[in-house]
Amino acid sequence: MTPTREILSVGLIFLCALVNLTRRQWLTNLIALALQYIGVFVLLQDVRPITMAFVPLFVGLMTTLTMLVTLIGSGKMQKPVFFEQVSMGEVFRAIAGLVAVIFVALLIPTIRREIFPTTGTFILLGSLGLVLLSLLQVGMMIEPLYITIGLLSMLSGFQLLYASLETSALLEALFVALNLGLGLVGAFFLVKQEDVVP
Amino acid sequence: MISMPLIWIGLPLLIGTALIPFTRYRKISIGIVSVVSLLLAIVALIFPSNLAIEAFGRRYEFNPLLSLLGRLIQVDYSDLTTIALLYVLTFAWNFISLRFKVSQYFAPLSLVTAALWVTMLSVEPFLYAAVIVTIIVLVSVPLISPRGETDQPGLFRYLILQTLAKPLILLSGWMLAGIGSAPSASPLIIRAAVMVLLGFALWLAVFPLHSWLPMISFESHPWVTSMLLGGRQLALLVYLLHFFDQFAWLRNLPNIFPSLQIIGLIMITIGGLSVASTKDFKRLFGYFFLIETGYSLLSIGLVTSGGLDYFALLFVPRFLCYWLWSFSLAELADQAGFTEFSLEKLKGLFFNAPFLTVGLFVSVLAMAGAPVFVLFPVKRMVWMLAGSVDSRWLILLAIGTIAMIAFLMNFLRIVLSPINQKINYNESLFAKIVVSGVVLIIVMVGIFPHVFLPPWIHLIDPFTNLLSTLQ
Repeated sequence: MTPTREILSVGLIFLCALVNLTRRQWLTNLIALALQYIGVFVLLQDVRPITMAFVPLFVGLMTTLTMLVTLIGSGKMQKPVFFEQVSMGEVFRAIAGLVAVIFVALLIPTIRREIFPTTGTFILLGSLGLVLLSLLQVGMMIEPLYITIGLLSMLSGFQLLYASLETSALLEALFVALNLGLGLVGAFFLVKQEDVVP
Repeated sequence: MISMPLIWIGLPLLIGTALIPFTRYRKISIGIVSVVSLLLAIVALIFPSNLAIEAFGRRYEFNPLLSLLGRLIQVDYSDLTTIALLYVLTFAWNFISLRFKVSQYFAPLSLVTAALWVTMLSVEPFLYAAVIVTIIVLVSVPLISPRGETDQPGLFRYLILQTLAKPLILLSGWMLAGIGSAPSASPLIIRAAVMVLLGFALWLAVFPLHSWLPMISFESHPWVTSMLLGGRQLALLVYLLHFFDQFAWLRNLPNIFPSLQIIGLIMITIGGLSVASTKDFKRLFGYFFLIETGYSLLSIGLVTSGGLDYFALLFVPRFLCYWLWSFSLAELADQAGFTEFSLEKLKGLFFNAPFLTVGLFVSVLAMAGAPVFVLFPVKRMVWMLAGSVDSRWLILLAIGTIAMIAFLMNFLRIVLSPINQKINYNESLFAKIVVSGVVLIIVMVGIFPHVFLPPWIHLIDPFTNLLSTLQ
């Protein structure tokens, strides 16, 4: 793979994760999540055959779609406003996210040398950056959708890292179950308050 | 040959999943889950050690292995005690669950959860269990926060912290693949050990990562919390022993067992003090979990003095106390209509619900390790072992225990104080019989531990490396 594609996919992953960290517009967040899975898919092709790399993408998009359909079904989906005034909270989260990305980028050579010598620089940067931004997200937000997106992103980042370390069909299957389960739990959070117990 | 993993994993997973669409028929669902879990527990307890049964003139042999996607799931004879206990727990919490307003998915998901715990303990390589634990966390969400209820911060914290543990455990396993013979001071081993221990600290809610415990106890139904946390405590602590058993580098780390002793002691002390200072009864279960996990870690830490025996013997008495506590509390919530469990609201409880009050009192008294009650024989031995290692440990143990007794004194003062208002509730005959019966069992096991507890010591049978190296 050419470095340009890798750089672009890492950039896409970081951009999507930063959007999810800062903005609170459900449709925008779900689109960012879907694009993030595409970025991870591109990087995964470095260490997996395309058929295997396609599995997390397919599962991720299914999960995103599940939450989108749930939001539409529950009537909670709001029309996105793309040029809404930026709040101070969003500025703060964006700065925190950027600092985290810079922090990871500076540490990557050391981490690679000391811990993950067989993993490519861009995979390491993309995965660890995504994990850190997701951690910030789950730590800073309390709404169920954002926590679900944060956890899905964190799993996605970790899955990318682990794919560069070990190959196991059983583990891939467990990751699929985990992602789908998390998506369903996210959907459950979105509707359970309104749900009437029979 | 019949595969053993299919019996204790495949069958309950299939039945539990198949029952999910039929949750409207709660009686049938609960009935099936109770019968299946009881049968699985009994079969696990009486299963022959040669893994073969002769019946109707034929010999049926059982295979402990099941190949799945190129990996193995292995249920050995030595694992059956843990498996039996997991299904006993599922049965005990299911057969009367119809009385309580728990999630409609309680029965099927509790069976699925038990099967997943067994999978977690059986999968090879066993580090993959980390992903299964996270799946169990997800399965438990509809139970902890049923439909129609508002979002709960404790649940989110639980979800986040439990998910965080998975990468730590998986990465530590990858780091250590094939370096079992490296010196224990190697930076790689120290790094991996830190990751493993941090992962377990997150899973087991070790102090100071325990904040979700009281929150979730407060937010969720006591019957659900006690079942889920009880199973989690058993499975994860046994899984921790798997690590010590499989990885020589971990058990040979300098000061690893003394460190576990100190962590356990801190948890007992902090848990006891938290119990004494809490203002809401529903939060208490979280602190009980903290204290009991502390006792288990202390027992593991005392492995060189024979602490593992007491580690195994702690579970059944502990589950009896959990059961009685949660039954009494759930009965007050769902039958007597209590919506709040602050100390103020429970004034004069004894005059309204004497049997349930006794149930609450006895369960805490037993967990404090009071003589005559179920946990006394085992905790007494743990106290003696800890004191023999370092007499200063007794001070910490005493603080934890005295704090619990102080709570009990306060509890008595509140429940025996003049009635605020008479509630319209008469304890049912069923509740009276159940509480009396369980209190009787708690006392009987406390007086005759040598009759009731020895079969459960086989819980530590799988850990031959750990036992042979250290004892």
